[in-house]
Amino acid sequence: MSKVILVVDDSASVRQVVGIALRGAGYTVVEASDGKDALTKLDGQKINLVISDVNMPNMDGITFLKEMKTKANYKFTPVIMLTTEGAEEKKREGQAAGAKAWIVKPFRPEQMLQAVSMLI
Amino acid sequence: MNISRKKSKDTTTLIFEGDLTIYYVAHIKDELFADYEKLADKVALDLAAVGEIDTAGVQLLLFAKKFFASVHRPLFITKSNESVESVLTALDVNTQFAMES
Amino acid sequence: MNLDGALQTFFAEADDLLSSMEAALLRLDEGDKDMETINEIFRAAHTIKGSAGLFGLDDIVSFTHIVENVLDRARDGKIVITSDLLSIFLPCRDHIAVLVENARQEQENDAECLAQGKALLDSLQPWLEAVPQPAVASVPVIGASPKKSSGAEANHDAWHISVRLGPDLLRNGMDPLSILRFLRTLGDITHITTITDHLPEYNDYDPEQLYLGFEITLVSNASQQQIEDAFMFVRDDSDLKLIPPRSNIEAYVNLIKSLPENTQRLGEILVKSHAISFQELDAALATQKQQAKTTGAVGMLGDILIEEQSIAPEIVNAALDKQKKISEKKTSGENRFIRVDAERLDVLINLIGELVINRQRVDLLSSKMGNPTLIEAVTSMGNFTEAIRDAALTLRMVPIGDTFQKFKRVVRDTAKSIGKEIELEIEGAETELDRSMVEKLNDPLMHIVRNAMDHGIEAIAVRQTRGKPDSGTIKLTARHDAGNIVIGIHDDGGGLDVERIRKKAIANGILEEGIHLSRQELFQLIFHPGLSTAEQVTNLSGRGVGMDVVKRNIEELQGGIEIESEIGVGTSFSIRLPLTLAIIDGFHVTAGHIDFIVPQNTILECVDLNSLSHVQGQNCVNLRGEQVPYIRLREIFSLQPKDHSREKIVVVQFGEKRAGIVVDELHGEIQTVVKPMGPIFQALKGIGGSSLLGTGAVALILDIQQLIGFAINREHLRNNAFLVSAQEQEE
Repeated sequence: MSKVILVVDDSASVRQVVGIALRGAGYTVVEASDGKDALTKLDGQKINLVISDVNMPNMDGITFLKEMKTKANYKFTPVIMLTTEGAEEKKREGQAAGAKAWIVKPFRPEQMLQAVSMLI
Repeated sequence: MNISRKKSKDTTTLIFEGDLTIYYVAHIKDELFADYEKLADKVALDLAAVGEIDTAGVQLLLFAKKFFASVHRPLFITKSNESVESVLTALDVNTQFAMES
Repeated sequence: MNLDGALQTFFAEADDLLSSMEAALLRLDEGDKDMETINEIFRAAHTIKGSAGLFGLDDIVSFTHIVENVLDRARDGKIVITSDLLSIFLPCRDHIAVLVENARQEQENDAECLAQGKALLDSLQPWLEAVPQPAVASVPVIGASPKKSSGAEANHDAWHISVRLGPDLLRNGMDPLSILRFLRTLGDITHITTITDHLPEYNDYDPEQLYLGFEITLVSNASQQQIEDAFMFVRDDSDLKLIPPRSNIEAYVNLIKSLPENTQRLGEILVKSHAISFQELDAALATQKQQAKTTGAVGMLGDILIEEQSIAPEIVNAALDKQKKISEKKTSGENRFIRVDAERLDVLINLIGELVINRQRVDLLSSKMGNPTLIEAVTSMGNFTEAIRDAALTLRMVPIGDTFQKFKRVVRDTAKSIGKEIELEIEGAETELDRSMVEKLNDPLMHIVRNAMDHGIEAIAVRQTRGKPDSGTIKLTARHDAGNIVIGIHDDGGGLDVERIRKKAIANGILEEGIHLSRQELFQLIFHPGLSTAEQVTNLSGRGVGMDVVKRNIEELQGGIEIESEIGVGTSFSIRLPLTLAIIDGFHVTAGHIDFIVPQNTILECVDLNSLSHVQGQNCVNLRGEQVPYIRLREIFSLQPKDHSREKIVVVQFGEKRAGIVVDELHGEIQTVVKPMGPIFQALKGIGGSSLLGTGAVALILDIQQLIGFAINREHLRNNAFLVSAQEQEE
């Protein structure tokens, strides 16, 4: 069965491109528009990887990550955070919360696919 | 993940069923080494029914090898499956679990 | 990767963001001090930049990036947004809009445009911080200059990678196995040693912590950067050392010295991995001992610049590809979309629904007044109302093709994983239906398709013995049929065994022995919750969702599902659905004193009940030689009869089944807006929803499928002399 990736971003076009790239590479993609929405997708189904934006309305990526780590089924799920350079403080906060993989926006879809293949 | 024990003559076979991954290693450690004194002289692992296995799982096996060696019980794998075999080979640790002649 | 569709989304999204950015900037100008306003502007710039990068719109990225930086500082309170700054921000927003528009038109940004951007960025300079380049910790490369570097030969050579991994990697979801897998995409791992020396004693051993390290020999012509990148996400916590191909022996010696493990053991590993020979190592160690610490130099290998070589062809290809696409698009003409919030569309359609109702009311009033000019005007308005309704509904229509397309991948992957060969054929991809229905169709379709792959299509060996081609076929079809859409899922697999279904149904207590059911009815038993599980649970379809859920999902969409199957030949499911759930053409009838609506597309004809000959002793009429069972609405809903009414029968059809519905009065066609029943009434059988009439009275919309089922079942039971109530026998 193909691996499942949860993509969390408030930008529909980012979700669309990331979705196209990942599906094209054979992954199954679940989309969420912000952290809150993403939490509702953690409903017991297997998620192999999370790709999440940091800056989002309703619930940001770091809060989502912290919430996710409290769930037994998802606490070891790898996370790729999408960030902008210069956001060092956010990055530190995220790393403390267990997000080790960061991709700096803007990125090309190929870069992201490569990062994904390093993690799962 | 579930481990059952089967004893025959000088060997205890530990039969693993389920995923051998980071999500379960803490639980497996508790079960794997509980009352290890009661195990026979040799310890065999039956990994045929293991689903997923990751580095945490392999590390646990490597640790088990080391631990059982320290209590003078050789440990080897008697049965496994494709996914276990491919991971052990990828890390080139498969030979460490070969049965001693 | 075809990103054209996504690019349209980007443009629409950028338009929205630029509008909200402008509005927020203007609010700041009016004295708004809310942090959230600044945040909103920042987020808009941030999102535009991030998305533009995905499409390679570099001019947008580089310009917006600077704007975003200034906004970020304002957000952090490092600078205050003065009116000076605002008067730069607004033109900056406009400039982003220009860049976006140029990209949309596929126009290069001309010199004037770029100069304008440059001028704007220059004027932002005072608010920018001199950003120090983040210091990237470089991986130590141990090695002196290579022995020689004669082109071709150097391409295939072995890197030595030495890595001790950080303790928290596993807990953070990182699996070194994935890194190894990635390294294998760069070259061949000819040797790997897993370092277990740091596994602790029992009491100190935390199984979620990582204690391992690796010594890896990688034969690859990848660049150093590419190899380092494999460790991108673990580098901060890990100790990584690389030795490039053809490095001097000192490099290995230095590596050994820098590692925490036992010198002899490491030496053995390196010898075993053929990185160096035993003699070399021995000699080198000896010399080093003498020379003490004089050769601790760690040098970079300046001439490893394979990166550029490997990137070049990709860039060229991408550029060619892009040019081709541009010329294709210019000839195919403009293709413009407006993106509309689905909710706004729903509001519009609801309003049009109300308009339709009001029009009926006006109709009613005008015919009462009998003014011919008024009646004419109202009729003409009525035509337009209908046209508006139809046009509005098409706004929400989407082709089913996208949904079908998704199954290509599912079928391919699943077929592979279960060792079958299965082709997916698609027919009628352009058939349109309401967007809200498409979403709800996904799950039932998925289930049926999975079921067909798993249980329908036989294993290759079985197919061969049956003289079928190795590769099975699943066909998804869609077509319009009298205001409905009919979706078909056909497979050329083993077919359903009616006898087995019957036996199983009897064994499971679903069916009484000796009751006669038609073929179709027997097939329908697979939707029974008690039958769709059990034996059928497998990895694929047995996900706790049975065929019963499929049927329920379809019924929720006011649809029905039928099965045709032949043993050894295949199975076909046809799902029949209304095109939309919002507005239906109905036929207004009354029974007792209650108003009902029969969906127009189910009606075959309306006749006087007494004009038809009855089948003796049954609730059945003879309609041109065909026996049609009927039910009385008054009876099943326990309504008081109206005086002197001559009963009428409305003959309806759903799928292949027919039945009569006996009512008191026929009123005529109306358009009606469907309001779903509240949760309390959901269990109510025979009613699919409600609607307001022009007079303000509430009418109940009949669920024809359920009523037909009810009528047919009842006649069956009667025929089988099974459970017949005394009351019914009187008739």
